[in-house]
Amino acid sequence: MSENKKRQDEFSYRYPHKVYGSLPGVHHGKSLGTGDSFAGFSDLFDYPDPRRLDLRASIRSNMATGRDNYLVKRFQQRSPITLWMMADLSRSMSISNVNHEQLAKLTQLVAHSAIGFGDRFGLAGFDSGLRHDVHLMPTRQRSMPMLAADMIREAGPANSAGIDGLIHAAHMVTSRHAIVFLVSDFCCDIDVLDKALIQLSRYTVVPVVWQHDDVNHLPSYAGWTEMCDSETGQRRSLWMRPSIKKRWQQTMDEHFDQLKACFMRHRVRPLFTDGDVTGEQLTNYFLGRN
Amino acid sequence: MTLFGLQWASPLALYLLPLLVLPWFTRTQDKTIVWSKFVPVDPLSNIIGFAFKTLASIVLACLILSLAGPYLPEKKVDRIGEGAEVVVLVDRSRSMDDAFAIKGQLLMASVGKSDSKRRVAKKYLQEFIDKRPDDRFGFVLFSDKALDLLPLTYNKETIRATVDASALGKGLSETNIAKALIKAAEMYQGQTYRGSRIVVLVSDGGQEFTEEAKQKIAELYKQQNLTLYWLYMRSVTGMTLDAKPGDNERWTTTPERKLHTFFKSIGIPYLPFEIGSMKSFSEAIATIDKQQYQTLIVEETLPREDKAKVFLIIAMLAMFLLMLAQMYTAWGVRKAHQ
Repeated sequence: MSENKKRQDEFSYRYPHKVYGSLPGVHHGKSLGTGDSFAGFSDLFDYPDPRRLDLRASIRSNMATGRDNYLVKRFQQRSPITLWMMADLSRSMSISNVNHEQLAKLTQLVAHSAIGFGDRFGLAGFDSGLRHDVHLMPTRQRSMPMLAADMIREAGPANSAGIDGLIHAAHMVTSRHAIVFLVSDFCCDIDVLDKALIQLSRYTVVPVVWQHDDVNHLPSYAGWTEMCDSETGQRRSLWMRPSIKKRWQQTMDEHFDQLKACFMRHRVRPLFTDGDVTGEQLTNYFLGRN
Repeated sequence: MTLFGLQWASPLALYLLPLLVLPWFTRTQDKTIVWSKFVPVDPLSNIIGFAFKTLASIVLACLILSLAGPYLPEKKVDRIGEGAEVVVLVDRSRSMDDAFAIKGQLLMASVGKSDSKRRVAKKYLQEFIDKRPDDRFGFVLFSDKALDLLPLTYNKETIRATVDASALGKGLSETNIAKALIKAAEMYQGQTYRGSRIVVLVSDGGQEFTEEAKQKIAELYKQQNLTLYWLYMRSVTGMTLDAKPGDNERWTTTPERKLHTFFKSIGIPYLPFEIGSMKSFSEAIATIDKQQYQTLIVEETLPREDKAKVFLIIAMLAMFLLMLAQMYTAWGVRKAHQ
């Protein structure tokens, strides 16, 4: 804990595609410039950089063509991407083990790692609509991790029930290359998620599925149980007994199976967590090790 | 105030009745859950929920109603029973403390012990009282004064207690049967005639009456239409009330015989029992019991009856069910949190 205070936890990640951009970064890029991956030869006349002169290639070329040219090596430049954090701030995200504090920690972790890597970090909070108070355009400012975390910590409760803001938030992600962290408990209609994932299909999406404790899904195994929905406040009461518990478990399993199927459809690998997300977990995720 | 055919001691408490709706509005056990779509729809639960709320309402209703103090007021009911009105005269003289029906030496007998005449008389009188549920009893204890311990009453408890009490302690020295007989007759005076009237005299000795007393007794007993039974618990073996040939000379002048002669002379139904043993005592009682079965109108006072208990029992049962449900629920919640 004391170590955490001293040094912010972080994770490393790779963007799987080649990035096009003029700015230098760490991810494999498509634009030519200073870099380490070879991208062919060019005439010294066109790219007058004598440091990159390749005499062997020049002689071979001259002998073949009979001309008298000098070739220079060209490289692909490494480029930055943007990490977007799409944070679900709906009411169901503030129950016991899944709460804004945890969300803020994760945001800080992602922002810190992104900016430390030279990438940009953007934040889009949503509930039933877009949360304008929890919103950051992509930035590289060093102070941003703390600010973003505080923004989430200080975010008020959702005005109305639902997660429809997910689609609006997806529209906000306009970067050319981005890894989108979609943090939610995904206790919502799969349709909405489906639409959002279609919208985000250009990007690498990392859904972080925050799993609630069973107690928060169903507070009792037996007897009279009165419940109220965290989102809508809708009241339900049940006489709990083994058969009902079985049905409930079945419904829940079905939902999460559908959720997994939906992710599978969109070629997205979810990260399941029950609260604390550590840098190590995310590193393992990006290494494909979990 | 009358409601549901009951009287209410403090009807103001009924203003609390709107509290019945409380269980339908309070939701103290609400738990926030993530998504209610996961919760199965179950019609049975709705029925059970409705039942619980109804039960809770019933509990409240019963408690409030019992607070309001429901009762059935005291009332008098005339009913037709079989039996008689009986005044029991018990001799309280010291000789009644002697042991009853002993063979052999009188002096060796215990005094005031469990086999004393009074105790024996008490035992059989209790039996007699128990056998006759519809009778109205009065009780007079006499020595030199007649104590009308109990005016005529239907209350069996009181009679039994009085008879019990009559056997306590030690006797007094004098005997005044005349006064007692007059007292007994006076107890019937001013009462409406309901059925046969009996005076049961329990004594172990007789007495010679003055002319004045004799006259009064004869007059009163005829007037009141009384039947007289004499349970004579004799102490001297061999003596009978009626003269027999070969009797001891001295016996002809004993007060017992004189009294017997007087009783016979009044002209009222009269039956003596000479009791020499436990068995004859019970036979005497049985005889009286058999003879005196006449239809009579019994006035019964039904006491004020508190009905709060009924409501409290209903409330308790309902509460018990709710408690079971609550315990099951608590167990379920605990299990869910494990």
